[in-house]
Amino acid sequence: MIGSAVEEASLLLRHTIGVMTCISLLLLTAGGVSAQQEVPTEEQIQEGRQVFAQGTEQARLANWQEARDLFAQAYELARAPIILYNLGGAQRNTGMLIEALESFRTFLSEVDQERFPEEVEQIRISMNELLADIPRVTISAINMREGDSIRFDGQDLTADDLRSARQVNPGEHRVSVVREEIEVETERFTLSATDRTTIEIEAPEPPRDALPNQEVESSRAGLWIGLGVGGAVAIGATVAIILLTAASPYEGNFGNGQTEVP
Amino acid sequence: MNMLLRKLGMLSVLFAMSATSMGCGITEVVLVVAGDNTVQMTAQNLQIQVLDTNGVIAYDETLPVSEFAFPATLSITPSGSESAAFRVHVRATFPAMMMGGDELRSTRGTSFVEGESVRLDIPLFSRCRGVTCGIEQYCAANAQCESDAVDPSTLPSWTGSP
Repeated sequence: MIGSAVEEASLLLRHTIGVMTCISLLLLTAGGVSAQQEVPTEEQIQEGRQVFAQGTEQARLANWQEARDLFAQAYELARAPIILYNLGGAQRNTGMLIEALESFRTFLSEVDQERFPEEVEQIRISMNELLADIPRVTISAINMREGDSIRFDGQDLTADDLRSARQVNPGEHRVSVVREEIEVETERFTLSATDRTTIEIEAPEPPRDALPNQEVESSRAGLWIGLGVGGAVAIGATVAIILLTAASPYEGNFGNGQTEVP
Repeated sequence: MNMLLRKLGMLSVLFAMSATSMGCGITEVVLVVAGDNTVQMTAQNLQIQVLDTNGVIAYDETLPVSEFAFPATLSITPSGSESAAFRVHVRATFPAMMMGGDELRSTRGTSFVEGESVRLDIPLFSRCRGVTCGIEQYCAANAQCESDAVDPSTLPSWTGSP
C-alpha cells in the first residue's frame, strides 16, 4: 500500500510536467472544457492556470493536502478535465479514495482519450488499484423497530443501502440507530484500505414507560382495534412482500451475492 | 354499489397495466456460472470480475469453490445508467497438472435491460482446457472460440432460481 502510494506519487510527478504543457494548451481552448459546464472566461482560465501551477509545486513538495485544494480550485475556475488527473492523484494521496475514483471517472468521460493515451492508461491502472483499496462495509441492523432508521456518517440510509456493501474512505466512521430523531445507539469504527467488514448495530429496547399501559375500557373496542390492527398488518405485510419481491435484486451465492456496475 | 365496485375493478386493472408497461421492475442481470462435472469436481477457486464500459474493474472476487455451490450466482445491478454495458470475466483455477492446465477462462459482454431482471449464463467446459481465445472471445461448448458479445434482448428472464 505504501509502496503503491509512493509509486503513484512518483508517476504523478513524472506526468506533471507533461500535463502542465497539455493544460496550457487546453486552457486556451474551449475544447478542453467540460461539456456540462459553462465556458470559463479568459480571466478564469488565466487564474486557473496560476492556481494549477501552485498546485503542481505543492505536489512536487509532497504537500498533498495543499495540492489537492489548489487543483480543486483550478478545476472550479478553468473546468479543464485534464486537471482532474492531478486532482484525483492528490485526493488519493490524502485518503479521499472515493473522491479520487470519481475524479478519474469524470476525467475518462470528459477528456478526449485519444489525445492523452498515457494518462488514460495510468488512470485505468489507478482506478483498478483504488477499487481494490477502497474499504467496503456492510451495516447489519438488529432488533430494529418500526420508525427506526440507520444513520451512517451523518447520512440517513435507506433499506436499499443496507442490502449491499458500502464503499467508504479509510478512517473513522460512525453508525447510529435513530429513533424519533434521536441517536439511541452508536457504533464507532476505523477502516483501513482494502478492509471488507460487517458492522453490527443493535437497536435498544424502548423503555417500559414508553409502552402504552392504559387498559382498554371496552372489550368490544378492544376487539375492533385488534381487528383493525390485524387487518392493517396483513395488508402492510402483503404490500411489503409484493414491493420487496418486485424491487429487490436477487441475492446470489457468490460472495455477497450482489454487485453494482457504474 | 355494483357500479362502484366495477369502476374500482377497472381502475385496478388500468393501474396494473400501466405499472407493467412502465417497466417498474428492478434492472438486474443475474450471472449464473455453471461448470461441467469435471469442472465442479476439480476446480479449486472461482474468480468473477465485472468491468464497466471503460474496462475498469467494478467487482473482483475470488472464492474457493467450497464457499458456494455450483452454479455460482451473482446479481449485477446498475448504479448509473439502467442500460449500461459491462463485461464479465470468469476464471476457474485448478490444481497444477490437473485437467492439462491450471485455469479455465470465459467472458461475456452485454448490457442491462431497463426495468428487467434477466439471466446471463456462463458455463465452463473442461474440454476448453488449454484453449486460448482472443480478446472479447470465449471458448464455447465445442471448444471453438466465439465472440463474447451477448445481445441483451436475447437474455432470458430471471425466474428466481438457477
